[in-house]
Amino acid sequence: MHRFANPARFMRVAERLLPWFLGLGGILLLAGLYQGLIASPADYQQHETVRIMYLHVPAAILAQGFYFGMALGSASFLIWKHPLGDLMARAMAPVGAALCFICLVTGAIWGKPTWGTYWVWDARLTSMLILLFLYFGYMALANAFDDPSRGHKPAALLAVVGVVNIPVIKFSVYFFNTLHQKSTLFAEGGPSMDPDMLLALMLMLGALGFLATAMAIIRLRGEMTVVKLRAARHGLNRHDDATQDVKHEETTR
Amino acid sequence: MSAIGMSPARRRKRVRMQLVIGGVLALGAAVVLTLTALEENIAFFHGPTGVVAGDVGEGVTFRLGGLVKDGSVTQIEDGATHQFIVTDQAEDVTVQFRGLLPDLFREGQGIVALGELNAQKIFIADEVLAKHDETYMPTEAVEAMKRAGTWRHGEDGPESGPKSGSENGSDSNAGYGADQSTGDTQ
Amino acid sequence: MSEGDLGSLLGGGRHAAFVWWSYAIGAATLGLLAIQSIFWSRRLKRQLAALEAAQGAPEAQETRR
Repeated sequence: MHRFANPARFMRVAERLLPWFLGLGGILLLAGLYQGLIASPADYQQHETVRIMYLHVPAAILAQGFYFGMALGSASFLIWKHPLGDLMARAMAPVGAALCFICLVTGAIWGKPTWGTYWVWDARLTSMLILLFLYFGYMALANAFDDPSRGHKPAALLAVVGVVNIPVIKFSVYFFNTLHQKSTLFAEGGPSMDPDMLLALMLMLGALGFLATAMAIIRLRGEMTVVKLRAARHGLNRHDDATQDVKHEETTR
Repeated sequence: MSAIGMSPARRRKRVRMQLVIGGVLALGAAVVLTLTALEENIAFFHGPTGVVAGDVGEGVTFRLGGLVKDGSVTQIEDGATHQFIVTDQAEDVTVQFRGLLPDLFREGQGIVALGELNAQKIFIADEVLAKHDETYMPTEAVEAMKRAGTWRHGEDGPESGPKSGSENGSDSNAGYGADQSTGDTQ
Repeated sequence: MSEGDLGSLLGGGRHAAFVWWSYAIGAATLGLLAIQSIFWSRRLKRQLAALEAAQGAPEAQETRR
């Protein structure tokens, strides 16, 4: 386990996986879009808008999954001071936030023809909006300070604390009266969904899962470079004679 | 599990782990307690049983949720006001609504209406939203079932749902029945 | 799938516009984030390379890229 806590070694594995994730994600995306938009039937009540679900539900699942991953990374950073956990959380946050945004927007677009309204303040929709704000809060805090020893710990703490929102989202439709329907995928007795629709949903879940992970790897590469850059600038400040060439870099603050 | 043989660094890590896990658990417990206490307020709508029992006072705006009772949808004299009964299979509330009903509105459909009770205990709605259920079926399959006579939308009965996925029978009343709302939460 | 070869959505089924909007916004969001991520990561790498070149540290040269 600790073998992979070495950021450089982890990054080597991740870089090797990246093309596979992109390829698999691309293939699944094409299959999922074909199945979801063309091959699968329209719903008896929602008509075509049922197809929004194939984007909405994977985005919702992954937005929560990414947040959970962020919280795990942040917890390992707080407990063992693993820099990798912090870097992973920072890399995952924008991807999860984008998925959360997609979930909310597609849900609103679906809600208008189905429910008759874009938005209601029921427990499910509100807790999902809170998830988006948690993502924004984390990103704001994590990037608020140039000095990593200042912003990183509060941001990690926020990510860990915010994880209590995940079960609230999940169980809101069972615990409270909500306008949002209960879970289809995890309904007891199996999903109450036509197999053609279920296939579209699963293909899109796989596609978005691989593509989002690939995006997080690309961002992790960036976060690692930030660390190296900071270390290089630190070294530069000690050798004052070398700074003359890179005056445009804002090394002095 | 004595901490005596541990190096200070390991002990600190263990303390930090306990702090993080304990903190999340404590916060989780606080959230659960708060939400339990606020359950009534967080509830998006009230069911007919609660409304008939007097959960909500006269002149208070609230949301009423339930199924549109079969055969109850009518237009009253002015031609623009819809009247129907919202039921949870135990109690009924009569609703009047002036405006456009959502596409999904039909008898047997779950709806949530915003409005208030008048002196005659009629619910005057300002907004009617359709509540969707968690069943997804192709149009063709539903039509085939209608032809075969096995399709019974919105009725209560053991085999009324299009699939046996929802254990309380009807496909669209999940979470609405007076006795069901607790039954399917566990 | 009795709607013909194209499928009911492309055939202009009911509420089709809502579906197109959803997928367009989804694609735009993920696409913009992907582009931003790639360019951001590249810009950082270039900055690092420039900094290392300025330092002239030979061991830094081999770690870049």
